[in-house]
Amino acid sequence: MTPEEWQQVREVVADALELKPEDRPAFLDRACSADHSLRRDVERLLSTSDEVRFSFLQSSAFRVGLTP
Amino acid sequence: VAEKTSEPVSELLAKWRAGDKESFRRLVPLVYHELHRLAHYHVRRERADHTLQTTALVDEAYLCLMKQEPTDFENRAHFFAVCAKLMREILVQYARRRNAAKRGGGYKLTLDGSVVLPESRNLDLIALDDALQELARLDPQQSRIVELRFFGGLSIEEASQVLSISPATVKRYWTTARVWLHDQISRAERHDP
Repeated sequence: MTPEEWQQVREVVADALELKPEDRPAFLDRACSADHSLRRDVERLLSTSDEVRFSFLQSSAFRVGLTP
Repeated sequence: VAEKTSEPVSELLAKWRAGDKESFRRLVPLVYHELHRLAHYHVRRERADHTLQTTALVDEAYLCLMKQEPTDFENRAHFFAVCAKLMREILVQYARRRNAAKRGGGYKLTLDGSVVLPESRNLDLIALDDALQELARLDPQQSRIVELRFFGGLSIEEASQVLSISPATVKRYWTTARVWLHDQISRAERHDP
């Protein structure tokens, strides 16, 4: 992915995340139009579960421990 | 390695705050040394106890180093940014050393699981570091946000001040960076190109 492609993906993902899940497909139809590669990347990132989205990296690194 | 023990961190911080730029250059190795000492202490203690403990390396380092308030924000922000970068370096270095020492069983550096959900329990810091380097190629600012938030413990507002961008943008970049990093790390684990 190039920085320009990422910028495009990021903006669509960020906008989509602000919408209710049921409103996303229609938004993606408009935002990605015929760009299948953009749509694929966006959908993959949007498929990340809510659980991951709320928790991943949310507790900072200094809560680090060692487990056997 | 502390090069000038005659000049403690607090003294250098005071000089730096007073506008002496040279003192900052001398401060960084001392901060690095201090963060290292704390990281080493915590990692050793946890290993000895065989328990998961929440550590507060950066908190503690900040406390040690920032005792004299108030400080002007620009210096403070810069200082946090430096600490975050050093903390990343130190923790990744520890993770690498651990991995090299154990190869084939033993310890794994993981996130403390006391409050976090299963997904964030086993975070491979080395994989995160690699993914962050890739993110820095795509957008250096997003990588810095993750560094400040995750390794430096800064809030959205603090990160927005350090980077001089709006809190709303920090939030937007932070969320998309986390989603991207999670995807990147999961795919690397599956050896999925």
